[in-house]
Amino acid sequence: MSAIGARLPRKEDPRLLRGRGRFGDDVSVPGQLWARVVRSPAAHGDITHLDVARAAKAPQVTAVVTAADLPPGLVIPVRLTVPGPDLGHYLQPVLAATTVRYVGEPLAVVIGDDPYACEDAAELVEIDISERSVVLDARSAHAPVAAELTRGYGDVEAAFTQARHVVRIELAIGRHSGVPLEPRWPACSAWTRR
Amino acid sequence: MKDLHQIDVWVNGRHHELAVEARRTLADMLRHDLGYTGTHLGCEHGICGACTVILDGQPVRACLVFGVQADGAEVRTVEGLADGDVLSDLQQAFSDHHALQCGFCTPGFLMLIEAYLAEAAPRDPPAELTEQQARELVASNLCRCTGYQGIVEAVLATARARRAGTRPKDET
Repeated sequence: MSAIGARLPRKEDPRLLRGRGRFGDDVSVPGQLWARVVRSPAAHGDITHLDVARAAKAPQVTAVVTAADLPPGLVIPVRLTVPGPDLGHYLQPVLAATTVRYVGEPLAVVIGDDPYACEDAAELVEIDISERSVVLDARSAHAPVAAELTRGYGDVEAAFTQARHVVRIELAIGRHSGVPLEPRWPACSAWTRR
Repeated sequence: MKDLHQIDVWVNGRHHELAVEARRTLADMLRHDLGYTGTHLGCEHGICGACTVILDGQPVRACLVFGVQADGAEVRTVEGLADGDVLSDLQQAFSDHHALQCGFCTPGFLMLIEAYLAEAAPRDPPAELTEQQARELVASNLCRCTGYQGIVEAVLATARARRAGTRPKDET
């Protein structure tokens, strides 16, 4: 009997169907803290004021982290790198320091004993953003070229010159982004709380 | 300072008595206070439906209902679907039709569909379900990895089998 084309039963189905999977929020470690990300309400702008003092003093809050607490210039690396062009200039900061570039960009992270307390404290973070104009379409960007890629094998120019037909096409590729239904989560138990 | 309320709730037939903060969602109460972690939270604002449970016969988003609203109520969660070692007909149909992959949205879909099919059940035989109706039903929830084809097939197979008084697997 061939497995090709056949519906093979999955080993993991029974536990997933019974609600006995183990997902991120099902994990509980001793001394666990919770985090709430404070996000930009503006699509583009300069951060003129970011004050976390009140949030840091809120009940059950352990810490409130902003870009000022992180090494300067800390950016999120690209996991699938393209050999050739240097994309360093386009990488996003872990937490916005001076400029926000999209609605929802992380500005601060509130860490504490209880998720509800963290959410309360997140609302105490004071944010002032001087808004700037927004670009809603890649083609209307001020500098429309983010990266140029040229790949070829052999004598490309000669091949085109000698070709009977040359077809030129412009391709538009929709943006792809991983958006799993389960929120992203880390669970760490790295240090002992005092 | 916390606004606590003493409540009685029946989850999958089991009685629980607990003190719950007024603002605590039913989802957090089920998951973290009572340990029913089969109910999952995706968006926490009523869009994805992953947290769907059955509250007194009605499918509800457990992230949009407060725990105190379940006082005196019967709640069914995914943990209450199987009969011991035997999966329910709907659970079995999900597996047969590859209606799940990562399993995160699955409990919400199962409870949504179970509530819908149970509503049709008092009629004898249960009302026939069209593919269009099945698609409208599952449009209530989001799946981000498997897609809806297998889920629709599982819904239709379960509905057909219940009409015929058999289990979905008996069909094939």
